[in-house]
Amino acid sequence: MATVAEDQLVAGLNGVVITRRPGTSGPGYRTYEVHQRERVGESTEKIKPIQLVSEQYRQDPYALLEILRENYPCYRNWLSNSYWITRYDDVTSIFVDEGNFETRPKTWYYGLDNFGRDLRGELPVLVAQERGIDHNAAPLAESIVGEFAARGESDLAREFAARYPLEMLGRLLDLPDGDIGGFAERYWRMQRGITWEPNAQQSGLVALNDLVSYFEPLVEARRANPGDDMLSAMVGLDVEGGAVSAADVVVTLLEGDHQTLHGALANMWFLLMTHPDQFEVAQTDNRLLKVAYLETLRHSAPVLSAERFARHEVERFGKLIPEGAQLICSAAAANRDPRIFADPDRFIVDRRDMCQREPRGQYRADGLASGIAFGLGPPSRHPAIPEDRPRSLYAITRDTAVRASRVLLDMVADLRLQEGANPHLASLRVGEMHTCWKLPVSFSKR
Amino acid sequence: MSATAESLADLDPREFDSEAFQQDPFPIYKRLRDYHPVYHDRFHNRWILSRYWDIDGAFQDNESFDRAVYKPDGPYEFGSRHVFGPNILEYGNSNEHRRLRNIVAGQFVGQKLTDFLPMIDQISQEVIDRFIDDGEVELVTQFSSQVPIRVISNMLGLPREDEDTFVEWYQLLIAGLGFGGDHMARGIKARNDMWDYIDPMIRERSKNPGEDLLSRICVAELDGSRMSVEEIKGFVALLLAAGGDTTDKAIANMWYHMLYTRPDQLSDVLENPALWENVFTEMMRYDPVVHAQFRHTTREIPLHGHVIPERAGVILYLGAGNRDERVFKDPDTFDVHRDDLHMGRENRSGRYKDGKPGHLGFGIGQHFCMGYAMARQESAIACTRLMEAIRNPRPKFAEHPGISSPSIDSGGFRSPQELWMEFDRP
Repeated sequence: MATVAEDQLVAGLNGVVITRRPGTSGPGYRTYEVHQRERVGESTEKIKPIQLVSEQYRQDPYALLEILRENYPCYRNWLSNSYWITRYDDVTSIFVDEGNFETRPKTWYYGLDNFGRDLRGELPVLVAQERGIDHNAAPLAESIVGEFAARGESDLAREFAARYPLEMLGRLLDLPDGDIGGFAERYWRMQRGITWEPNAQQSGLVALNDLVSYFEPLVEARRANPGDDMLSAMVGLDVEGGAVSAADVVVTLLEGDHQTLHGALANMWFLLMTHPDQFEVAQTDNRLLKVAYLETLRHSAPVLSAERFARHEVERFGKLIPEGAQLICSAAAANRDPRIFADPDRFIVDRRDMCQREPRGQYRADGLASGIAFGLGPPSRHPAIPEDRPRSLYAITRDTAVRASRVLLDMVADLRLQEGANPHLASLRVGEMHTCWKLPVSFSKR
Repeated sequence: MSATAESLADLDPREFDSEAFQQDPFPIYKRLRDYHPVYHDRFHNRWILSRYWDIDGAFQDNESFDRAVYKPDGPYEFGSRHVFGPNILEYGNSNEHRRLRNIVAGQFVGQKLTDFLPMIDQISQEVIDRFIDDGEVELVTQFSSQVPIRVISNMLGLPREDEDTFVEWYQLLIAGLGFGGDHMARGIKARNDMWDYIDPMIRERSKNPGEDLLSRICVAELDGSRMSVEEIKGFVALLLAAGGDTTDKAIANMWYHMLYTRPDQLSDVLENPALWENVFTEMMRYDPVVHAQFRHTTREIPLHGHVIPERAGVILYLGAGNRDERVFKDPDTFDVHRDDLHMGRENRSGRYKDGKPGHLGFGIGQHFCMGYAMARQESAIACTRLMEAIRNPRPKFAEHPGISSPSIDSGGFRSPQELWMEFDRP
């Protein structure tokens, strides 16, 4: 009554099957019956959970995500104790379903309950932010590009894409001139602390505390002497729970993000430099630069995925999702879903099968889908443009990226990848922003 | 609340997947207890409790720490996603759990257990007779894995000639508890084979019950209802696996500790066989067969300055709580004469008249191990019989790689991979 062919099975002397797959080095202590709730008989042998935190995923997650999307659209990842959602319509359905799923604030990841208030949605803050961005978008780009324009070469990732959003933030808050470097470093560390990696968490928490100390005197100064900057707008708010504190300011900065601007700028210029034919198309006018930005967010989204948590036990995609379960909604996988986009792995600036809505997985009335990019803040209510603001934050960010890129195009000519350069996209750590960190280009000054 | 910069950095959650942790988890347990009594492991998306009284508290508070992943009144079809099929391991706080547990819980204690003791004796003797003339034995394959499965299948009244097949089945079932797809597929195949095998017996004994455990389960009624055939099958799978494999590993671990951890105390045990029960208890404290239990919070749990959110997964590291220096003196020393541990029989309350704390190895409370008394009796009897049959037991090899957990892909419990012993005949 043998049940298994002998060659498939190596039993340890104590009877427990100890076969390890050749080439895997990852045996580990497993805790008895921790979450093994895959449907009985279902096999997910085409991928191992460890691959989703591997070096391959850090560099180029798309091949692995394709395995999930085409085989296990709702993948129970027992290692990270989460469900991976990878098809376009599925990701969208989880993302818009506020009734059954929730996004947790970044303070939750730091374990900071009631640490400070998120003031991003306050109208005076939004107005000051928009005014500041519009005022600074072109001059800041001119100043940054001006520093390297005469040199004939530059690393666009480091000198342009990475600098622009953080210096913009410094200008919006009207920080003292010499402070930008220290502020940006701490802000960046604080954002990177939203991870499972304990060293980064620790470092992020220290940076967060440093920022609170840094902002304390500034908050008092602006309270006494308000300007028209975003920090003054925050300090001047009359909100429930008392006067705005430095902790509120830091929480507001934490919950916001610069990655859609930094990552998208870097990824767009990476794609344009590595696809000269598409670069030809994109630089024709600002409308095409805008669609190049949107196509970048689709083809190479800097924020690969967003986490949602189930508010209730709910059945989705043939699985019963337990209450409290973590869902990894993969924008990167959904954006390459061949059910939605033809030839999804190709970067096509004037793509005909994508609409130019806010890239949040929306269909236009005629059936065209937008891309999906996370990190754009809370979903815009319908209609997408709030009554008292001329543009949504998404549109502001998009226009800023286009304006900064236009400044670059206006100031230098004959922009091209440096000889022998081999740029690529990667995350610094698995789960973080997926972008281009080194993009050496040559040009001549106009 | 302020953003305190407590040291998160000294414990990387990937260490829980490392070979070192599989082999020797205790240094990490100590770091958890000392520095992270509430550890939020974001890599595995779970929370970890490791101190004795925190684990005790979680076990005692079923309302806040639920055993089940899914809700009893929700759409989840119990057993549909478990390698054993429907079984009470999947139930949390529900009447279903109470109903099923009450049907069988009484079968392993008191007079019912006493009735089985001669049979345990006889089976132990049969197993020992197979190797007694060799002068040496590999205890894991030749002894510890042989006794419990024969006992449980005998209790169930299954044909004795098929016992080797049952051993194979339960090994596959236990491995199938793991995460690896292959192990699970084999486990399910073994389960289905077993179900096909046992199906006619269930039907027969439901009509003409005998004295065996299977018959009793088939006809047991609580509030006028019997278990369904599917539930009975799930239960048999659970009994074979949980009743077989755990005791198997317990016996191996007891001998390991006597041969390698405290050979000096082996002579005490040889003089006084009653001490085998102490060996069992101390083994269940020092390095129990099962090291972890999983719970899900049903409300926010404030603890040690943290708040565990509602519906979060929480691991209770029994193996860590058992080494809590806040509770036991010299917790890293194996000592069969320990005076700060309740050495006698366990109970589900975890509170004892001698005022001493018990080990956490069986859990506590609503999901306390049903087979606690039987595991203890069976282990003690098997070890005593073996000891009586031999003289001068000694390790065959001076070095031993130690007790370890199986590969992460497969289910299973902590035990030595193999354990060679030499002995003389009386």
